[in-house]
This record gives sequence, C-alpha cells and structure tokens, in this order.
Amino acid sequence: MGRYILYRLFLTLFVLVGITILVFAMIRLVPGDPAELLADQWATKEQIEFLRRTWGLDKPLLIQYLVFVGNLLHGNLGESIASNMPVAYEIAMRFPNTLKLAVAGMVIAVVIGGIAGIVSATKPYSLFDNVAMVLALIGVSTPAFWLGLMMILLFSVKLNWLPCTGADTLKHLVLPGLTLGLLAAGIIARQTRSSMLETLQQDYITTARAKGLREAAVIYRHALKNALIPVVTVVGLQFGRLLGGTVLVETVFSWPGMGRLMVDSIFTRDYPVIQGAVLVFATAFSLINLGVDLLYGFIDPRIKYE
Amino acid sequence: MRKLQGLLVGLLFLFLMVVAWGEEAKYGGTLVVALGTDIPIFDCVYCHGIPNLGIIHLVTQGLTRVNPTGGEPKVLPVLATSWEQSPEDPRVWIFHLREGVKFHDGTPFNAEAVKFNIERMLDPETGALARSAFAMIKSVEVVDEYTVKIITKEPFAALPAQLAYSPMCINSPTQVQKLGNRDYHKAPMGTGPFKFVHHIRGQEILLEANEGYWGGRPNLDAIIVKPIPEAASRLMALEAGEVQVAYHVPPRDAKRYIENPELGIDILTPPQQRRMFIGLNVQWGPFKDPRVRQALNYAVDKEAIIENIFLGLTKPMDSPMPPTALCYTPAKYYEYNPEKAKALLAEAGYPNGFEVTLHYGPGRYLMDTEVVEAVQYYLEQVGVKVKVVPLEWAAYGAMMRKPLEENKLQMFFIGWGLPTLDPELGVGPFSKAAWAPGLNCMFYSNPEVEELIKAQRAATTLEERCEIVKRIQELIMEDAPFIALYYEPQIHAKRREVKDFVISVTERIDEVLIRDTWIEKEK
Amino acid sequence: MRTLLRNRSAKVGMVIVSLAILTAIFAPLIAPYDPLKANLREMLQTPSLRHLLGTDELGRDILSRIIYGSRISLTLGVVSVGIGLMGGLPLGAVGAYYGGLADLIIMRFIDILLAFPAILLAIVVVSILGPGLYNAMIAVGISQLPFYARLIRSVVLSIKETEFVEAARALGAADSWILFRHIVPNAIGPIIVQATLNVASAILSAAALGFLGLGAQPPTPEWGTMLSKGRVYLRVAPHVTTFPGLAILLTVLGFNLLGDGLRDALDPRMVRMRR
Repeated sequence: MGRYILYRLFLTLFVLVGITILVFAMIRLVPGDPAELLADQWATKEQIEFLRRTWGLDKPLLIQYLVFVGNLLHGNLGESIASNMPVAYEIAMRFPNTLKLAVAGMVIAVVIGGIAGIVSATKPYSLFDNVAMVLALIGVSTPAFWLGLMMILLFSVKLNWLPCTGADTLKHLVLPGLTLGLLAAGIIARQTRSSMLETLQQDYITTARAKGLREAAVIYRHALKNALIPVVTVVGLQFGRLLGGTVLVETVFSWPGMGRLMVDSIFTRDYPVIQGAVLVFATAFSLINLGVDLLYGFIDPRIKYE
Repeated sequence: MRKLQGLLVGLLFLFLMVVAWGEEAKYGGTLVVALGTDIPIFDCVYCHGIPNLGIIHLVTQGLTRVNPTGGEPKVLPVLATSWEQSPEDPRVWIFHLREGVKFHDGTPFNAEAVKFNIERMLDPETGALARSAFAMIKSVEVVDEYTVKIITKEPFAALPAQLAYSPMCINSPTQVQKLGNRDYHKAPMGTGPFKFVHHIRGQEILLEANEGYWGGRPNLDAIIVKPIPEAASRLMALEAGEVQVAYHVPPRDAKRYIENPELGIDILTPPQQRRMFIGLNVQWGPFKDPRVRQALNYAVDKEAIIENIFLGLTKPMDSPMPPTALCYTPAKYYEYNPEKAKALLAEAGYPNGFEVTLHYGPGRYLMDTEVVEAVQYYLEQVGVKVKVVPLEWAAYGAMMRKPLEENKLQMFFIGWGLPTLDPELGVGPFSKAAWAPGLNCMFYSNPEVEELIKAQRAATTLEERCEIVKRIQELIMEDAPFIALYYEPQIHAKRREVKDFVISVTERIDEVLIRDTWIEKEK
Repeated sequence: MRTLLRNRSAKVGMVIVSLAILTAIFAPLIAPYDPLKANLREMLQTPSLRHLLGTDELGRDILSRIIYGSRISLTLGVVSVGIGLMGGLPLGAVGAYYGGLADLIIMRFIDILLAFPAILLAIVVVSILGPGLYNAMIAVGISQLPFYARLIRSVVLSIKETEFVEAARALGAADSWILFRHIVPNAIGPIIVQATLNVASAILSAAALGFLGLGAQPPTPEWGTMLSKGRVYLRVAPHVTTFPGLAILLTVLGFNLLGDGLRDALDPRMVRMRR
C-alpha cells in the first residue's frame, strides 16, 4: 500500500508539472497582454515595449517558462503585475476566504443532505422521501449563480435579513455558504439514501431487528456506520467540486476569495497571478482527489487496485 | 436698559452655543465608499483606473487639480498655489508652491520634493504606466525652496492642466527612497487630508484623518473604501447603510432613488467629460469617403438613445470635446435625418448600403451593450448592416493598439475621457502623431487640423488659443471620423446624511473639498 | 426500455426533455414576439398580459427569448457533449487497448485536464478563443473530455482480456474491427447514460460562461447571458433574472431525471428496490 501511495504521489507531481505547462501556454495564447492593457491611453509603442521588458514578457516563451519554474522551485510564485505584491501574498489573502466558504458549504451540505438521506432511507417511498429526492435532484440541476442571485433577492432585498456582500462577519458567510451547500446537499442526500437503503437490506440488520433491538438503535448503531463509507467518499469528491463552484458564488457575492482572484486576473491578464493561482488551486484539487481516491480504497476492502 | 443688555448677552450666548453645538455635530464619523473594483496598487505611478486614483489622491495629492464643477477656472491649485508661463520663453513655467506643508512622515514639502516626483515619473527605470503623458517635460529645476521651474521641450500651453492628470501625485521623497519604487505602495506618505492605514486585498482600504493637514483637520475621522463589483450588491449595501457612497449607479436605479426620496439616497451627477462615439477607421473601405461618415451620423437618433437608455441624463455629442472642456464650442450637431443619410450614402456610391463589423468590449461603459444594439438598429434602417463582435476588454484593447498595417478594426465603440479638461487631450489625439498604438485608431489625419493643433500649443493668450481650438472642433466634426453619440453621464449615489461631498467632473473624489465632508448624526 | 418506462422519474424527465426539444423546434411558431426585436420604449416591464414574462433591458419579450433560448441551450448541450465524446472516446479507447506507454501518457494528460475544476478550464479556453457561442461549446466540450476518456477506458479494460477478443485476435482480425465489434456494444449503455447526464452539466457550464460574459454574446438569447445582463437590475426588475434561471433549472432537471432513469434501466449492477 505504501508503494502505491508513493506511486500515486509521483504521478500527481507529473500531473502538476503538466498543469504548469498547460496554464503557462494557454494564458499566453490569450489575445492581449498586460502591457497593452495597463499602459496609459497615450502610451507610445516604445512605452509598451518597455513595460513588457520590465515584466519579463519580451523574452522567448521557453525562457519565460524556465524562469517561472526556477522561481517555483525556490518557493517564489512571482510578483503580480497589477499590484507589485508577491503572488503568494495575493493568494494567501484570498485562499482562507475560499476555504471558509467551501467548508461552510460542505458542512451545510452534509448536515442537510445527510439528515434528509437518512430519514428518506428509513421511510422509503413515503411523501418525505419523494419530496426530498425531488428537491435533491433540483439541487443538482440548479445553476449556482442563479441560486445565489435568488438568495440575494429573497434574503437581502425583500426581507433584508442578511448582507449580500463582504466577508467580515459570520453573518456574511450565511448566504454564499447556503448557496454552495444547497447545491451539494442534493448529491449527498441521494448518496446517503441509496447507501443506507442498501445497508438496511443486509442480513445483519435483519438479525439485529430479530434480536429485538429498538429501531433507533438499529439505525444508528449498525446501519449508519456502514452506510457512511461510500457517503464519506462522495463527500470528499464533492469537496473538490465545491471548490470549483466557489468561482461562481464568489462572483455573485463579491466574496474576496481565490475564485474571484482567478477570474479577475484572467480579465486583467495578470500572468503571474493566473499562473500561481491556478497552480495552487489545481494542486489543492488534485491532492484532495488523490486523498479521496486513496481513502476510498483504504476504507472499502472490496476495491482492489491494479 | 440693564435688562435689555442682559437679554442681548443671553441671546448672543445662546446663539454661540447653538453654533458651537452645530459645529460639534460636524466632526467625526467614518465614511464608507463602495467602488466597482479594488485598487490594484496604492501608488499613482503604477495604478490605473480613475476612481482608484481619486482615492490615492486623498493621501498623496497633486500639484494642481481640475475644477470639480468643470467651470472656470479649469485648473485649480492644490500643492501649487499659482503658476505662470515665462513671457520670454514659453517653454519655461514657474510654479509657486504651498508653504508650510509636511508629508505624513514629517518630511517637509518643497521644490526638491516636486522635482523628485516628476523625475520619478519620467525615469524609464521606474516603469510608470503613464510616463508618455508627461513626456513633454524636458527638465525640472529648483529655483528656491517654494519655487519650481518646469521646462518643456516645445511650448505647451496645457502644462498646468496636464499636471492635474491623475497619475501625477507628490509622494514623500524620503519614503520612496526608504522603501524603493516598487514597494513604496505598502506605506505611502503624502500631503493629503487622509493617511494610509492598511489595504486588505479584495476587502477594504482604511484611511484615517491627517491631524496636521495644511487645510485644517478634516471633519471625517476615517474613510473606508470597499470594492463591490456586483452592481446590485453595491446598491444594496448603500440602501442598508453598510456603505454611504456608491460609485456608478445604473440609470434605472438612479431614477428609483429620485422618485422615492424616503429611501434617503441622493444622486450625484457631476458634469460629463467622456465623449462616447463609434470610431470609424477612415482608411477602410467606404469610410474613406467623408460623405459616408456623415451619413452614419445622420442615421443614428441620439436623442432617442439618451431618452430611453439614459433616461435623459446626458446630452448628445456636438463637438469632439465635452462641454466642460476649455475652449469648447458646440461645433456641429448631426440631427436625426435618415433620409439625408440615405441620400449621402447614395451620392457616395452606396445606394444599397454595405456591410461592416463593429467591435467593442462590453461591460466597460455604462449601458454599452444597449447603445451598441441601438446603433446597429438605426444603421440597419439606412441599409448599413452591422455585425457586432463583442470582445473581452483586454483582447479589444490589444486590437486597438495595432498599428495601421495590422489593425483590423472597421467600426468600434469607445469612450475618450478628458481628465484635464484641456484641448491638448481633447483634440490632440485627432492627429497622426496619435495613430495607434496611440489613441487614434480611426487613423484620421487632416493637415489643417495638424497645423492648428501645433498652433494652439504655442498660443500665448487664452483668447488666441480658443480661437484656434474652435476651428479645430469645427473641422473635426465636419470630417466626422466617428459617429458622435453622447457624453457619458456620471451617476453616483450617496446617503442623505453625507454632506458636502463632491465627486469631480474627472470622476475622482475631490482631494481638497473632501476635507469639508461630514456625516450628519442621527437626531 | 420497459424498465425505463416504468421508472416514474425517468418518465417525468422524458416529458421535460421532449418539451424542451419541441419548444426548440417549433420556436418560431410558439414565440409571441421576435426575440431580437428591441423596443426602447418598453424596457424592463414586469409580467403583464401583453408580455407574459415581462421585458428585458432593451424591451425584448422575455418569454420569446426563453423559447428561442431553448434552441441555443439544447444545441450547446448536445454539441459540447459531442465534442467531448469525439475527443475523449478515441483517446480513452486507444490508451486502454494498447496499454503500456501510450496508456500512461494519455491517462496523465487526462489527469491534468481533470485537475482543473471544469469551469476554470472552460474559462481559460474561452479566453484563448474569444467569447462566443461556438467557442463556449468547444470549451465546455474540452472540459468534459476526460470523463468520456475514463469511461471508455474502464469498459475497454474490462473486456480486453475476455475470450471473445482473444479468439478474434487469434483469428487474425484487425484491431479496429475488434474495437468496433466488441467494445462498442458494451460501451454504448454507460456512454448514453453519461452523455445524457453530461448534457445537463454542459448546459449549466455554458450558462455559467454566459453569466461571466464569456459565452454567447448579446443579443443571442442564451439563458446564462440573459442572467448576466439582467443581474444589474436585480432590485428594480428581478423577473429578468428569475425566469431564465428557472428555464435552466427545468431543462437541466429534465436531463438529469432522464439520465437517472436510463442509468437504472441500463445498468444491471445497480439493484434498486421496486414497488
């Protein structure tokens, strides 16, 4: 198993290198570079060229890439073109906010989805079950940005209960967290329900019931533990997806996180920030997926690896 | 008699108390301002975006500023109190500086500081984004502690206005030398009414009152600047009282605030200076013929656009310069006349119109998509089929910078601001020198206009200059290297309790008048 | 097929999807107004008898735009999935079938694509190509590519070592023939399920691009783009954002229900309790 983990880590590294190349190449394919964008309206050609030289954009692509990698190996992600601050600083200012949002979303999703799933499984085909599963599917089908806007409309505009912008207090976390959470809750509810159902079919449950144990004990002590295995892996996978969903939610709520940083820096062609931010994001994403993959194999003895 | 005297004294005393108490109410409070973007870097040399630079100017002021009302005189003092052009050599300007001013770090403000900052801007090593805008300056000399001599390469009548342009501000030389050019923004020290405290990226900027400000301690204790890109959210924060000033309010919401005064929001509409037009590449196809260009001007109903899209909040463009500019005259107005448009097109050899592509970068200007679609509609009515190609702003900007041989633009929607309110930047760009990668992507050049632009630079009296500029405006409007549309309205909003708050014609918060701004406490 | 019809949610899904398809096909007949005709005098009107869903910021009828928008969204969904399939299937199949170095390299490339959250990949691709409807389809297609590659890979791997293939090879059959004859029938089921579900997510991704201003551009009545233009008016005219969003929700829901139902019907391994 240890060897396998090492092998996967090595592959992940390879993937990360590939990511740097891909991101690097792709953003330079995008028309318009930061010099053209930021130079003043009355700038001359020489002026623009000079700015390019200042930012190292005049060198051949390969050299630029090697400089980038060289810096990377020293732990330096470069400097933002727009703000002169280290990219690492810009990211460090935003990443915790995204993490806060993703965790909040995940917690809400697990709580709502988990409870809905469990209750549905214990009362299959009841009204609750049907309604819950329909709602779950609706959750999966809802566009994140639209849900965010509707939340703002309802809770900020009409009811004036909650703020819709800023990230200062816990109150600010509610609406964006809820938006993210409700979307993921759907999948978690469905997965919880189906795995609970499957578990409840098992023989040892029937045995427990036959032994005369109370229903509640049956559910909580026996079924839930085993049912949670696939749910945990789904939660892990969803966390990665949730991280991706933050891009849209952050835009709608003006939330100062990584998602907005990436989108904004693409629009302002801030190459170092794009490279750094996407790299960090993709790395986090890959590591989470890797972790979940391994966890899945670890927990579920039925899965074998080649 | 005694009783009357006593009564008078009593009344006087009461009066003084009321006045004092009223004054007392003026002090204090934190003003929260919501912008549409975060300030990328707190240093005018590296920052872009006009409202952003306006905030920076609250900390590091300029030498001069543009009159916030757009009226006369166009250029007002800030750190320079007066100036004159040398009668013998028009290339030499003398600026007299404000005395007894200190930077926030205690360094005295003087001619050395001014020289330092201008040279910093001009030094290629600094990498200032707006270096070209000040390229006409040849050198700066210190005459005495509070007098500075600025020498331009050629006679340049607009120098004081040019120094009011946002990227020019006076920073403490001590601080710049201490932190270095690129890191200075972390702790800027200026002469402004507010000091820089911190900048939490993406969230807020905090400024606090400068007790020793040369204009007297500001009424406000602090200013917080919050970036809220989502327009609807920005307004919600304003209505909820989380922010007290919101930049860039869409016309419909402005109307709603005006019609519902109980919401407690006032609309600010500083005078306009940005001319919005559809640039026509005069080197391309049908646009080589001035009759075609004029026809397009007659084809678009500007009044309808202003009425319906901007709810009547602005005026049609009748000069290459905005009404607030120095030497502005309403040179020519192309009224809505589709018949005349069709006639002109036929005369020029296009009785059935032609096809053309229009590029633009949506999201940059107020209601831009709506305007472009309206223009497309009107041109269709006279037989000109417009294919609209929206681009991401950065890509659009790159297209605009391409020189003549590589430039693919035919028609393009753009706005030109006039931050100095001066003809230099008002009509100057309509020349060959400004061909792309400069502003002039219409690639327009009229030899007579070129001569006159040079002449107005060398003019020694205002009357002389305005005579020349009047002719320039008429020529340009006649040549019509664009479809003149309107002047972009500036619509911002503030809560009613914010008093004496001024946003300038340049879109910046006025860096001198901010001192007087105060927040009325709730009764 | 019978199991499919018996599944209630799948039935609902089919109804919704059929409705969407019919709306798209008969749009010119159903829509009360021209979706592109602006009327500057009737901007941002709330729903009324004349305009059942109100008008947008240029006075266009929202109901008509939503109806025509179904064409765009369905096209977006199907074409994106098509692009993803065309890119992903050959890659995954080739890699899995030939194994060895080819497989390793191809799978790492897939991993790299998967390391990006789909929306981010789509944004970067669209930035390169320029915003627009067709580029959005390409971008979304590319972001979905990895899923199909992985899917076909697992199918190919599972049958690669079976007797059929051994026998066929022994008989001297060409590789491509083997691929076609044996792998395709086994792969079709899961591919259809995945594709259906992916149409749903393609529509969502494309709408997200439209929302960010990178997808279909105005005046094209793509639902996400309509949301993007309308969100400035959230306070004065919320209907401009509400209705396109509902349209997205319903359509995506339909495809998800259908895909779910297909999965239940076609996948023998998933045992579900039936009434």
